[in-house]
Amino acid sequence: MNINQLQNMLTTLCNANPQKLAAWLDEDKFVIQNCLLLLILCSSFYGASLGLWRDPLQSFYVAVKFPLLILLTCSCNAVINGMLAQLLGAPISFRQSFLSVIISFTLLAVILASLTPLILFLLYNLPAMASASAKEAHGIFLLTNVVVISFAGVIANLRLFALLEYLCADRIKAMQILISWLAANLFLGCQLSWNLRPFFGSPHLDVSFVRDDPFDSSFYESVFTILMNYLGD
Amino acid sequence: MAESTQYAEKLEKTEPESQYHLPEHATVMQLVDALLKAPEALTKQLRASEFKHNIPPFLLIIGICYLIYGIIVGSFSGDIQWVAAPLKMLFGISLSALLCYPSLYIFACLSGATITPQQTAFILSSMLALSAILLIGFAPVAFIFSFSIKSLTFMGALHLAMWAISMNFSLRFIKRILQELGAKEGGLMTVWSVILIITILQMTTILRPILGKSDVPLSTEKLFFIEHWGKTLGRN
Repeated sequence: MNINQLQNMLTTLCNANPQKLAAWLDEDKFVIQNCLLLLILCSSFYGASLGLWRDPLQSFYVAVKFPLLILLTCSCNAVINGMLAQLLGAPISFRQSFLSVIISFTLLAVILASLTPLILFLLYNLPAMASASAKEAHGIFLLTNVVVISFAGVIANLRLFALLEYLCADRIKAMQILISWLAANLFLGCQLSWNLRPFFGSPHLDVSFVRDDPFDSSFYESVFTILMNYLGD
Repeated sequence: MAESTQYAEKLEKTEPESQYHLPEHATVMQLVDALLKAPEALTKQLRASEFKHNIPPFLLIIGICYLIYGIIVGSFSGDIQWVAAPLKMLFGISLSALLCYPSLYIFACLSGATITPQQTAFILSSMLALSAILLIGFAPVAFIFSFSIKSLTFMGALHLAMWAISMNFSLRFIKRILQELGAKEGGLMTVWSVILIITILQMTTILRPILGKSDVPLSTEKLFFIEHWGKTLGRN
């Protein structure tokens, strides 16, 4: 992929013209390859900025884990997403539904990558890990990234909705498919991010690729335990 | 009555704004003229891909205007600030623009504009050039006040107000250009504008002192700009 192709692809992806994106779904493996390449590069760039506050090594780990998290979520849900789309009446194949989700995640990664210089600027402005106010800095960094990821997620999903609406020619069907995909991806994504933690890296824990007990417990059990503790108090 | 009819006829004969033509190798003054009077001439250049030669003159405008305005900012405290303030202002605005450049390209595309990274660079540089020109317009006023005002807070507020006005026009300009290039969703550009403003304001805090005096050329204490303003207000 040369620079002009990349530029054209970025413009088409961000413009998110449903007609053009729908044409991508019919194309050969070239689009999937390029989307995957862009997805890995952009999410890796953003991931590197996430771990940088904790340690450069953590930054490297997250640069590997962040694209991995997205790709694992897409791949593991590919079959169920394809089935749900067909059950809900979308005239698309498994390959096309997988590619639609990949396109949406690529757009998310591109938006996140475009905001990465600003995240690095924020990092420069935050108190260092070793300082007395490390806890506050960690909180601010965490919150800012939650806002940034949510913003990018909303935009990417709105574009995916427009594509689905074009494909199904029915707003309600498109909404149902989008919600079902979102539910499936969020359900698995939360658990995978739990298994692959740490991403930001807690100030009081050692730098590591994954925790010592990555498969011990689940995201949902932890949320349940925390809720029970709150209710118990 | 006859005079007014003659004037109306003369106005009609005058070249309409949309007919304003900007040459491929425009001079600095032609570019300034286009920025103030006919932004659509810049859009025409963008569409015809004749804009590349006009990026360096825009950078020249930004450089010269920010340096001049910086000298006026530095005149409030004098001493080392005569040199430090213009350099810090130019460095700050350039770095802020570089940080926000990738998001401008992506947000513009997300808004529906058909645009390339090179065109984005042209739009960003023209927007900054417009803000620089407007600051130069305010420069005499700022210069007079620099020698009259004694309060750092008041002087800071005055510079901030002038900068805010120039940014308001510049951001309107960029929205207009992007709309002409096909952007439909204004909301995303508003988000980008907020990001740019926060980045520039934070940059002024990192590069402090720009207006006031200090024993060190750059403060190492990390503060959010609102926190810094609060402290400055408290001291004055």
